[in-house]
Amino acid sequence: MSTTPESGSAPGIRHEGFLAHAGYRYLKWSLALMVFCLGLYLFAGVSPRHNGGTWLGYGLGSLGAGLILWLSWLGIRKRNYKRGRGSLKAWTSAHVYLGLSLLLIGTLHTGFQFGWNVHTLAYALMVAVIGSGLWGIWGYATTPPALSDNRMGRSQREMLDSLAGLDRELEQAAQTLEGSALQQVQQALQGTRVRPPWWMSKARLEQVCPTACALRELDRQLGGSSGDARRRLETVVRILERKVALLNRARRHIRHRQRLRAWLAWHVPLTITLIGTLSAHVFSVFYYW
Amino acid sequence: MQIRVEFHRRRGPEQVSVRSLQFAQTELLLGRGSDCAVHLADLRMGLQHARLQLQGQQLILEALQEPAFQYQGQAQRRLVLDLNDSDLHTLRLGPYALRAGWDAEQDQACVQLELVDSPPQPSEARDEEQIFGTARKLFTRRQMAWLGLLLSLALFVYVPLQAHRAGPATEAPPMPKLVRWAEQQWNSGPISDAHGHFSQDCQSCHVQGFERVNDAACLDCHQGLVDHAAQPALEQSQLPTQQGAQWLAATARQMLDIPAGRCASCHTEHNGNQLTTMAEGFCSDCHQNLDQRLPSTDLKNAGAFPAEHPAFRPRFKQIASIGEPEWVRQPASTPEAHGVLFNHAQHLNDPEVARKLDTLPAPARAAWGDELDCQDCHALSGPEQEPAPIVMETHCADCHQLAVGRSDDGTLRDLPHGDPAQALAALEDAYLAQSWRQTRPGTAAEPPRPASRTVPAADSPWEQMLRAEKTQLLSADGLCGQCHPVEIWEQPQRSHWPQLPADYFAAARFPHAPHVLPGSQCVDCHAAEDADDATTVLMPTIEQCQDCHRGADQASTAPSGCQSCHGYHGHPEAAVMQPRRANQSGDNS
Repeated sequence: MSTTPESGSAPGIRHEGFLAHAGYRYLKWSLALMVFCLGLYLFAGVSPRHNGGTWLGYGLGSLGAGLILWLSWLGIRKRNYKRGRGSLKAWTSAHVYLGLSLLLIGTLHTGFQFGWNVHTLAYALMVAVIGSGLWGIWGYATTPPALSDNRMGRSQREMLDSLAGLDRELEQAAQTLEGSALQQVQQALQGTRVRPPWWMSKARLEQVCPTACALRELDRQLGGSSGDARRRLETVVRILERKVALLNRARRHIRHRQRLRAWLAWHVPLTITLIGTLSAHVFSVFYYW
Repeated sequence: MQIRVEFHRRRGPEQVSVRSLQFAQTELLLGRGSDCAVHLADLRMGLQHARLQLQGQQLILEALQEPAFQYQGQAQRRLVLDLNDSDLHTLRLGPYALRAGWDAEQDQACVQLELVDSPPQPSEARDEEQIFGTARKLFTRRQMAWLGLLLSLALFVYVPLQAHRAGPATEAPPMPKLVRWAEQQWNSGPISDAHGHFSQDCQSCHVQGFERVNDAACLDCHQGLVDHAAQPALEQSQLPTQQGAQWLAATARQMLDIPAGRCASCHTEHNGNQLTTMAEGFCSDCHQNLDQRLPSTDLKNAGAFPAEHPAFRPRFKQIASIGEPEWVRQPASTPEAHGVLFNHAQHLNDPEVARKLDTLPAPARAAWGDELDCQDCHALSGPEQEPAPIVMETHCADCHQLAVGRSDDGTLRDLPHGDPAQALAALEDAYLAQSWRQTRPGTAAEPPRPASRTVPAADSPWEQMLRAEKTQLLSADGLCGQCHPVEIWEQPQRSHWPQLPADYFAAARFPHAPHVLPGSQCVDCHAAEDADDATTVLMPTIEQCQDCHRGADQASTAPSGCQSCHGYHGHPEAAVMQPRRANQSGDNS
């Protein structure tokens, strides 16, 4: 994202994210394009009012539609990593900045004339696509460091293996338990889900996660026990604590990964829907010329 | 050796590993607890789950905790098995299958334990992709994209297209609401109020798909429109199109096959009530130096109203005109020969007028008031507060009576107004009646007798008097001549006939309504109090208008654009587009 030196890399080698690509070349292009369009909008004499049907409206509309198609092309370009002109990073950089300029170009094209129709729907979809793209940029800018810190160098497989190991330890340690403590541990072993249902909040998960419940229950029983029973409980509680911590880490990891991917789940279908609606918009305008 | 316990573990379909424990005692505890001789490390088992007791060749099984033994389909807390039987006894204890029998060779009891119900696994498969993967379970991105694409194309292209193909809303068979709704989604902006009554019927204007709205669709309703000027004159006056932005626009139009001069070149719909596109310089581009572009024109050059507009030239009859009246735009200083010798200053200022009003009968006296003011004759009416035409019988006759006699019952005998021949005939009738009344038997009055009886009957004293009266009536100081110049009847051409223009500024539109401000008076604009000559034109000068209409740059509240006063389509347009507008000219005197 930024041009900060990567830790551990050789001096003088700097990582340059797609936002800063080529000294913000595409940011400058985008700004120039926006200033040009805004200047035309403000100073060109258009009568009786700005809208999509004036010469400037047609011009901005053609530019905007062309941009939308070109921006969508990134979805195809990125699947051919080595083919085509320019690096994928350059394409992504241009995609981001020219995509943002589209917000202004599209808005000027409307002449601020909105209504409940397919034309405004196309505009709204365009704004939604750009909004989801911004969400993605924010995700890419903030998530990777947090994701990497959270994993602490462990792979996903290693996280699951640690979890299985803790389960074995837990099963072993629970051999001496009985009654409700045993039931709680059995529940924790069988019922714990690393990936909670998508609709469950963090607070609710904390309440219903069998491992967390077992930890709370055994912690409570620990307070009222002594001697051998206390030692046995303590062993199990320590394991449960480690499992809860690991679960939290794994779940955070899932959230981080979702943050990196979820925006695309909106960005891509919205883009394709936008292309359909944009086609309807252009078709209707020229059909009812 | 009393009891042998074997732990069986299946390694494959036919592979079993066996671990054996020998016990000397006859009583064994089974369970998870560390104190149990037979340790069953499964959390589903109790710490001390069951007890085995061997008595001779009988094995007594006792469940100390749940679940109990399952033997021959029944749960049993206590069981006594006779091991001398040939077969193994098979039963279940929780997740374990327990088989018991007598090993004759070793002469000992044999108990086999096999975990047949493996410990429950976590309910969630610990699969890396399932747990950490981000693939959508319900709909993939691709499915959602297809759904959005197809839905948008179906709803906003296919359905409206079907509605269009079905024909105009007024003629097409009833359609589902969704279809009409989808068709309306193509509407790019609000339709003007003027066209609101067919706003749901797209095909009123968009007759053919992929064809621009053509003029025929507009002219279907707006019949009688005329061009701003004749087409050759229009083309000659327009700017050369081979320059800069003009050239670009012209080339673009040519490439897109968009002819200039369409209705839609200036009038665009779907912008609410802003129907007319008038670019800056729309008028002045041609009119600013029209004399160079169109040398044959008699129009003056005109630019911005505050500085570049020519002086007003009201349109009225020319004094020297002959034949049919000719309406000519001429300087306001030109005397107007409208055919009425009306002195505005006298009517407004002379005390004699007030005295005359005092002599009127009560109803008329009440209507006219103590003195005359402008609105007594020029009443403003209608939404635009237009002055009504002057009618002699309404506005003049109360004071300027045309009475030439009185009947027996006292009724005044008036001359008809507006036709000299009829007036002379009526005068003759009046004299005939008077002569009859005065010469009938018993009448005291003696008719004037001629001096000689040789005077032919045709030239009787009555007739001489009548002739003199007729001459007097039509003379400059006679009854008719008081108000009209004698040319009216001495020169028979229609152009002399009394006629006032109904609209002095026929090429412009002037509604009185926005100009009648609180505290304003007619004489502020029309200098009637000083006009003691009937030929003075009382129209305001352009300087008077420019006091308020100062142009866009001068922070003026009054609009100063060309369209504030002028229309584009000429007069037939007035009837079609602006029905409230007054007619071009009138012939009331």
